[in-house]
Amino acid sequence: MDLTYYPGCSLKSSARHYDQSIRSVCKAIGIDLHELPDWICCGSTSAHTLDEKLALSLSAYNVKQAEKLSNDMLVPCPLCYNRLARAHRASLSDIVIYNISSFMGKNEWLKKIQSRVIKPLSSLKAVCYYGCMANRPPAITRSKEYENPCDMDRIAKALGINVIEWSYKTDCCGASLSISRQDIVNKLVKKLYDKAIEAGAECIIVSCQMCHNNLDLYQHDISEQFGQKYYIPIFYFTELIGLALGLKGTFKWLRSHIVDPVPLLKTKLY
Amino acid sequence: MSSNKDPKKINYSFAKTVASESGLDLFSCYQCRKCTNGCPVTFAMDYYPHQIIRMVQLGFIDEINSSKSIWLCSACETCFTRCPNQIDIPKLMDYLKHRCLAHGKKPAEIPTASFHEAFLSNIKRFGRANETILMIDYHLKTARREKRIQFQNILNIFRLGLKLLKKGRLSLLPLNFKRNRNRAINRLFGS
Repeated sequence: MDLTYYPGCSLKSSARHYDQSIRSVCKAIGIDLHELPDWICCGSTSAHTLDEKLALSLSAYNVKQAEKLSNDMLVPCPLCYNRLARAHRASLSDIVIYNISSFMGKNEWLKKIQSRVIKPLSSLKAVCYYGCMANRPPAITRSKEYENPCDMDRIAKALGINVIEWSYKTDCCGASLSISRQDIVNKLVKKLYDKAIEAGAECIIVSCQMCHNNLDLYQHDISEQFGQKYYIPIFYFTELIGLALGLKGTFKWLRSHIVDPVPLLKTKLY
Repeated sequence: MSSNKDPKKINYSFAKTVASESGLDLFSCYQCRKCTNGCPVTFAMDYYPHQIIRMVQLGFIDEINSSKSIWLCSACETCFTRCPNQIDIPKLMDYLKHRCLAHGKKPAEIPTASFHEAFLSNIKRFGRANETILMIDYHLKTARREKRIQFQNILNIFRLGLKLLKKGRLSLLPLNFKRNRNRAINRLFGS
């Protein structure tokens, strides 16, 4: 299957390993990704904060470019997805824009992923954390499971992971406030760690690079600030697919995390 | 225009302006507080989301302009998702932020406002965000507005930058500089 791919700015820098894992997983399950040529930033939170019209036109430009290629478009970053979906809704386009976790959570791809698992991750206990933009607001995302999304849960279960239910799947991590109000983000993220650990999870699975950054980059600072030692690795769901399918490069992606997941994987899987 | 303190002299013109310019039906809010109860950042806000709407209805313009809440909204969309009257509250917060700056008011959260401005000027220059240059620009803009330099914050972000660089997760230069500084960006930014 051919899909247009809009990586977004972060996947070219601080979430480079997410981009690599997506490309690798797609290749393994038979999805041909074609990066949108000359894509530009979707405008993210800042554009819609300061200039609504600009926000819409930045995203609309990308949607228009994608229409020319006539393939449906896969967008991994939930922020980009949300912005592009808004522009897409305002246009009369026949292409479909997919958020990555809802796309791979479809039966067709689930079966493909499951049939290629060579190393089930059955000893891993995890919660899936979806954050805000992949499913909200449902008027834009058309998500039916916006209060309790389950796509990533289904994917993780297909890999054999012991997925635990919890009530904080869609609670906000604070997003870009991590730059200007670190104190707020630390408080929100601490709550997520506490609730995940309380539910019995040893790691958190995410599909958003903003969530990944906020949960992964500041874990040491949060431990220091609150006087409580946290060790809870944060995985992109595509990295775990890579692990279960034995894809080349998986450990390279995992090594670029700030919270090193290897000690957990060693005690659990190897 | 000063705020309405006398209930007999409530001036609804502000609310009407906001409603027509933002396209939001603010008068349908009946203060059920569902927005506030689901909001993740109320602990840091000076006014709760339902109070902001009430303040718009009653024309508390100065209080809104100097409010932290409009800047602290993380646009998580929980309130809009749950609002029984489908009021797009994050859009209202955006409108109020924009209005605050457009009227030359000092934002109550200078770093947050500076971040958004730095981000926009970043994509205007490069077409795609470059995190390194964004961070430098953000700190310069914040320092200029606050008229002081927050050394601790700069040190923290520098440390973080080094960590990311070591992990191969930071681009120092905008790699796609030429290819993306194309006509499209100039046209979209209207220059």
